[in-house]
Amino acid sequence: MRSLLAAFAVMAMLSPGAATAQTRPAGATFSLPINDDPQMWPLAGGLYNILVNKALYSSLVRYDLKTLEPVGDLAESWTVSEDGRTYTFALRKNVKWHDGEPFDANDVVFTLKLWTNKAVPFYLANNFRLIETVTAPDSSTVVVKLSKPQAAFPVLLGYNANILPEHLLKDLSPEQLANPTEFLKKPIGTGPFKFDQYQPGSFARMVRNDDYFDGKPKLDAMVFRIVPDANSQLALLRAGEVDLVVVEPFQLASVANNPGIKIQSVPIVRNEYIALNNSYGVLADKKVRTALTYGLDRELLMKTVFQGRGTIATGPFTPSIAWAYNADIKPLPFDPKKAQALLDEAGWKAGPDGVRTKDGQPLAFTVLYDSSNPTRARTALIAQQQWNAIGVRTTFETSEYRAIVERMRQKPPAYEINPNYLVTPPDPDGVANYYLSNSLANSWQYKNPDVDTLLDQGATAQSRDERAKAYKRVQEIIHQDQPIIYTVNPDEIQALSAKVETFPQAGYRDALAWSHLIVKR
Amino acid sequence: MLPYILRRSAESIALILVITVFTFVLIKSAPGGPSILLDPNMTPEDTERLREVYGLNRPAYEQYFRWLWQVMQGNFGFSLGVGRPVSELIGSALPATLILSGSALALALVVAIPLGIMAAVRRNSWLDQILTLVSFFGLSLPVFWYGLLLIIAFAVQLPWLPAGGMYTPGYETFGDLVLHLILPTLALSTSIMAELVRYTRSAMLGVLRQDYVRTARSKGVAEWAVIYRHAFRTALIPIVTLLGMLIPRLVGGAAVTESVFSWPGLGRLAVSAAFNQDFPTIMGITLIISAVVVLSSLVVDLLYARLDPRVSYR
Repeated sequence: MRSLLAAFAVMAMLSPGAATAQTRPAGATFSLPINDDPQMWPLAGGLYNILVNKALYSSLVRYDLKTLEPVGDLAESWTVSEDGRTYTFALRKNVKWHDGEPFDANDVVFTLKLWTNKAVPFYLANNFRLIETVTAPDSSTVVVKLSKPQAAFPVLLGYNANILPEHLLKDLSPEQLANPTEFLKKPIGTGPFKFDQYQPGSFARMVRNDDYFDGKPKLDAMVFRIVPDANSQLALLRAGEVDLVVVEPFQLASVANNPGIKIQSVPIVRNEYIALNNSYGVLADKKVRTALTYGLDRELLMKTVFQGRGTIATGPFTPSIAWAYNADIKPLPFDPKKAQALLDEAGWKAGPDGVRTKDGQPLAFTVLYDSSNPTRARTALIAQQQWNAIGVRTTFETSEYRAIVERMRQKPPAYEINPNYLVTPPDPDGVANYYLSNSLANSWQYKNPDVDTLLDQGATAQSRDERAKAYKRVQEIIHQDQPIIYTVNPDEIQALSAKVETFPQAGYRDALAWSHLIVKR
Repeated sequence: MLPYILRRSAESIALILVITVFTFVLIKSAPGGPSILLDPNMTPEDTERLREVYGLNRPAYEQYFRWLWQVMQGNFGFSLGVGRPVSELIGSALPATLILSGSALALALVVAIPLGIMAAVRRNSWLDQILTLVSFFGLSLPVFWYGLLLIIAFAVQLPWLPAGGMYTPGYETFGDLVLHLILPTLALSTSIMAELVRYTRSAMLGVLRQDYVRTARSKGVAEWAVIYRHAFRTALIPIVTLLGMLIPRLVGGAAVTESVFSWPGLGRLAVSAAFNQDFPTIMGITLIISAVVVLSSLVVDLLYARLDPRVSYR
């Protein structure tokens, strides 16, 4: 037995953290699970990485928790020139990097130049493709010139675009910036929490930044625990080891009615839809697409698949961007009769077995979906049953998420129908890319020159009213065309430990940019 | 002996090379591509640019040889997903896996071998029958379910043990490690235990019927000595074979157990690397694990000679 214990001790010493075996006072620590190792590096994507970066770094702007409109973060305020091409940012003064060095305009210039450097692997570089020059007339002013007006520019600056420290990174080559090993041993930001410890595969721990420019954070520490298994994440929440898990609707039952857990539903900029490949023969016919929408009971989908948490979608924009949302458009009702009439009109006549045919061809589709996501799988199943009732036959094909995206991005796209989702920056311009006729991201191959023109007006117009007018008109046209089936704008469902007193009421991607406001008993 | 070892080693290196080629071809033919190329927020333009920056648009054979060249210089490259050196990732995951699999194996050996011997000695007794039933049950328990059940029972309902991870963040002490180790060790050792009980029992049964055991008994050798000195030593040969097969499985990391218990080991790392199609990490892990497999089968072969004088290597 003694030798066994000794063996244990040796093995324990082999493990990296145990060698230093620190103990820390138990303060208010907020923990949440992430499903993979965070890079803690804002140039890389991945939700597990993005979330940690929110606590560690700051951006020029972040989003107001109520309106989701951009407000100052490292920038105190900004102005835009008449022609909409020059943005001038007034930076906060007295901001310090976690290593004590002062933050100034050079850091911003440095970071924006990284984003636009083609050799640097920044995953969102396309958001900043219009940046022409970045200059710093003085240490607290940054001027950005764009090649073309982009009204959503400040919004994009708040979208996972953290500012990096020039003094630590300026000598790295683009190759080194892909793998900044030394910097990542102790990443330095300006966020509300400072890096403390990272155990690969286990957790990343941040501690309060007492010098945070927007007031001392209320928590002592934040811990991001790496928990790959979704069921284990819920078990950790129920055991009180983590404080927040964002759950899918089908997981609600396992956390509801638990005195230790409270549920908070918040609207976010997310769209669930059933994509229709408009370049695929039959689906090019607007009547067929519209019939598929009429033939789908979205209220039922909302009640069952989404557990009633969200709103029925009418188009590409979500009600959470209130100023641009066209609330006059009402969703097409569930009306199988109308659907059948439309299909009749389009020349698809019901055959003896109930399946409609035209010129000897059956009205049949393959629905491609990501089998690992129950929300999408259930959506596909309900659609299949209901479309069957109007004489449309569907078969299923399942695949892995990235393989689906790859197929959707082929030209022409290699799918017929696909339930999917979009999370975009809180500006209508964030979804324009998916609708512009010539865009590579337009995987449903919807092409309407009027929409192209209006989206361009919305993207470049300087007044809010003008933009809203263009986008509201886009929603009307899209409602007419029914390029794809908009199903639900789902809420984000946050299961929070009852010990958490305050968690900002917004999607956690946005709320964590305000993590200094989180309060836990 | 030495020529044998040298010949086996040369064969092993060739084998490992073949394994890396196979692994590489498999990763490259999987649909979807690395996850760093497809964050949901990335536009097709972003994907294309990153593909170029990371050299992922190069011909597959070129990528393979570039990787091999690096490895021959002792550099495992950088993880595509995390941007950290692969050697560092493996270096931190391997001890975690060794701790977990070591304790699971130790527990399994300590419990299963005596039980297996008892079952064989008292063949068809109630003890034997219960053990047979329990070990079949243990063998068929799916870990993703059984592990979760353990968590819900002993971490959620009865809050005695931590629900996952290797340490409580901020309290990395030895005692904390032991607490975190209990549930995953149980989960992982159950099936090994069951397998070992079955193996030990059948190996012992075969040996106990042999003439030399009867001779020993008729000479009046004490029963415990017959069982442990005469019979068990012979029965060890198939057991060692099983262990030889278990060790690579355990070093490779019990992927499911580690994922369910959020254990920061090699298995979890391999699963996440495979999911992200992070080929430098997958290749690094493959290389390490295949080396362990080849090495442990070599060691088992050499052990045979120690255990069975009839086996010799020239």
